[in-house]
Amino acid sequence: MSGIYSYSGYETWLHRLDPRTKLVFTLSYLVLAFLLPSPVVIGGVPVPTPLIMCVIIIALIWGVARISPAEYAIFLIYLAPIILGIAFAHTFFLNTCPCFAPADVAVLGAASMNGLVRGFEIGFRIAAMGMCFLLFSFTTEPFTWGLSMYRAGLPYKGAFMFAFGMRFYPLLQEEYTTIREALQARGCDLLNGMNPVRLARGMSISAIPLGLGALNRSQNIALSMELRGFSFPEETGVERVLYRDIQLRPLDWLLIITWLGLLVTAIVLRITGVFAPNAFF
Amino acid sequence: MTTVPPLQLRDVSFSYPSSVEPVLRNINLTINSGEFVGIIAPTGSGKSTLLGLLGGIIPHYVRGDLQGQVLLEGVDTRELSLRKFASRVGMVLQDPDSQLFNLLVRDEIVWGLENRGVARAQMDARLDHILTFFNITALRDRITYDLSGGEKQRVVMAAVAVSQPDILLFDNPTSQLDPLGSELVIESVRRILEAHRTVVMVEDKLDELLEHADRLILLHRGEILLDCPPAAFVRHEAELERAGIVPSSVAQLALRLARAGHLSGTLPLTLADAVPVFRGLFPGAAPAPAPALPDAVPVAAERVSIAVRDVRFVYPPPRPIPAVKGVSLTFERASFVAIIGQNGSGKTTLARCMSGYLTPTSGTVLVGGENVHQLKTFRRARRIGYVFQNPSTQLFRQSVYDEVAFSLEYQGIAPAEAAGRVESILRMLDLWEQRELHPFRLSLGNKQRLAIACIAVLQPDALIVDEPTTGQDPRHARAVMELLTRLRDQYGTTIITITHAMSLAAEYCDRVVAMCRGEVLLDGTPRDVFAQREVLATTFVKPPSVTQLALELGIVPPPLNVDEAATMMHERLVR
Repeated sequence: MSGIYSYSGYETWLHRLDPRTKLVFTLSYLVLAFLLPSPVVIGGVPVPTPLIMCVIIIALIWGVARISPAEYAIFLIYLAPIILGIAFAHTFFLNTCPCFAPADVAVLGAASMNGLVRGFEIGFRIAAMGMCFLLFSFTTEPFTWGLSMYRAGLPYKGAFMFAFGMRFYPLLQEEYTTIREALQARGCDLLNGMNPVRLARGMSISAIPLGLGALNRSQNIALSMELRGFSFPEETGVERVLYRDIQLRPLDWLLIITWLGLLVTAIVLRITGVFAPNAFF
Repeated sequence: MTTVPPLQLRDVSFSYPSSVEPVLRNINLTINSGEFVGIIAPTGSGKSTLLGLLGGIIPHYVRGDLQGQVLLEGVDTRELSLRKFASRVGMVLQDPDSQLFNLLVRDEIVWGLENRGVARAQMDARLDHILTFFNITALRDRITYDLSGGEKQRVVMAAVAVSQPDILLFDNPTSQLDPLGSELVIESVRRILEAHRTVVMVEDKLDELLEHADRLILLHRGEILLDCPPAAFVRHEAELERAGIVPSSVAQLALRLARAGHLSGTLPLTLADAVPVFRGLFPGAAPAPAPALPDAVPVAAERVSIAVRDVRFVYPPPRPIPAVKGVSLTFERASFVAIIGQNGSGKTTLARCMSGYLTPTSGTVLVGGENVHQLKTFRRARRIGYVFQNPSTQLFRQSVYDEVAFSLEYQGIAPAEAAGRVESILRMLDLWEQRELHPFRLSLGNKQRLAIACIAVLQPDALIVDEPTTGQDPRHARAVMELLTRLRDQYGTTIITITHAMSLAAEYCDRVVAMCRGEVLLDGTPRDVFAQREVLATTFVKPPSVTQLALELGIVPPPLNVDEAATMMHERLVR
């Protein structure tokens, strides 16, 4: 695997599923993250449901797709401050903003358990969304993804360029790593660490080589594509023949129906009030 | 009946919109059917522009002022679309990564056929045929970005050739490849030639063209200086020298011996041709067994620059490859060391461990007595520098001067001292006159010098330079090596270069470390290491051609360059 959000290349049944099946799963899962009651109480402790959903995705990626969390640890590390930041903000700002609180109310006095749990809930909801796409991109070959978009009616060139974008992404990641190390060689570690201000400065410095490198490469790629007849069908009217195509198999249909069924059930339960929002408080 | 040549240029001149003078001037050239034409030129002579004209990229993709006529099978290329070109002419560019757009090899190969509406059954047949033809059947279901450089370039060649173009154009197809990769690509070109296709190849490695081309064209400053068969080509010494092109070392040696009256008739151009001819000069000469490699001389403690102690490195999952397996090396201060070996032999991983970018799985690296992995970034930069292969990824500022000064920003050096150091290094590397220019306006050779200047200005104890001569013509490649020698001599910097250029390693370095499968295979002086031909062959490394020739003739210790070889052989012949 070449990086975060890039295809892992393993051979598992999850990898072999049709991209449309995984897309239905991903979208259903995202909606479910908002519909399911949260938090749930486990051993007296309120646990945000999206956290459980994140754990399920990690387990799926690990257990079924055979990609250990160590391979995308950097993604999890970057998620942590986002989740903590959202939780922190909600802890102090959900009910009242401490800045505008009466002078005799201490800032800590504005903290609330409700805010903390809500904050984690929202943070993990965002994490669950990111993780879902992680599962999708790790297990879905970009070109079958492009094919599914083409089959869904998108023009071939658009679908192919989208798929190619996913192929291009690992190359950019490699280039970024080289640039970061080139900066280090000059004694500059702006692109290392988590300080957002330093990172922003580092990014502004590295924008020129990264941008020019990407531009140069994309120009060469565009030329190579034209030399291999990318525009041939559009210019001549010759129909493009696809060497391989995608087809939904029974397992795909079964999973799509299951996911859509779960989604509809959750919507109904939410509308009827069975899934009450914030069931704990 | 006269046949129309596939490609013809008539009085062609071309200028880019931004160029002050024409890049190509009055070019008259005819490429005949089934011919293999090699184009040799120093950097900046217009060889890629010429190839662009032959491939229809100019004027259909790249614009400029085109004078004269470029004819594809008698038709002016202005009247043809790039699509029309694509069906007759296939083009393989320098960088394989920019020519692979599909994930799997099989998809990559059939992609051009899909675009042309070829029936699926026919695609299957052509795919099988081309995989067999290029001997890459095992790669069929592999992911393209996981392939080695040589494999990638062969897949690109297969993807271009599968459309069965009559003419194939190659733009430096081996420039970014290691020796094995280059050999595999050249082998594929040989196979294409057997299929009677017309091939035009721009290539910096003259040896390859001398061996296979029917005709060689020497381009210099936009004009054709020579257009003749290889045997005649190497005899035009004045033109070659004017263009800064060095004939193959074997051809040079043969010329020297011919001038001294030892050789006559058709001169050998390649090693394979030279061996029987030279055996005739030295009757009874037979390959000598390789002498034992002398034990390494221990380096005195105060002279140690870098100490690598039992370094191991295993890449993280999903492919936990042990890339370096317990390597221990000591580098002496102010030495010039070449690390050689096949791609995947662990040399770059070792260099990255030594420079602190990678933390070894076990073992330590001491630079100037300090553990490199415990140093802060700004301190580490002063201890050990690293110059990457592609200079464009190392340039961040708006002028050459600022670019070098940027390196000192994080070192807390007083402005006056910083200014002095910047000026000094720029003058030393002949970049002072260009200090106001934007770095991206420099030539490739000067960009490489600037990248070295940016690190050298920090005056590190040691400097690792990754493939400094890749993609550079022989004159620029030598200039880079001379520059590194000057840095070593002036600042006492230990220079470590990772290289595939064996002749340059032999000529400039005082020590060669050959790596294979993560271990040190050989370590010694260039003469001692390059005498071990059989051992080097296990990592697909070949000594310089003259060294190989001398070993074939039983000359031990072998010469490392043409001068030495000519002297040794001349002395033996007059004895």
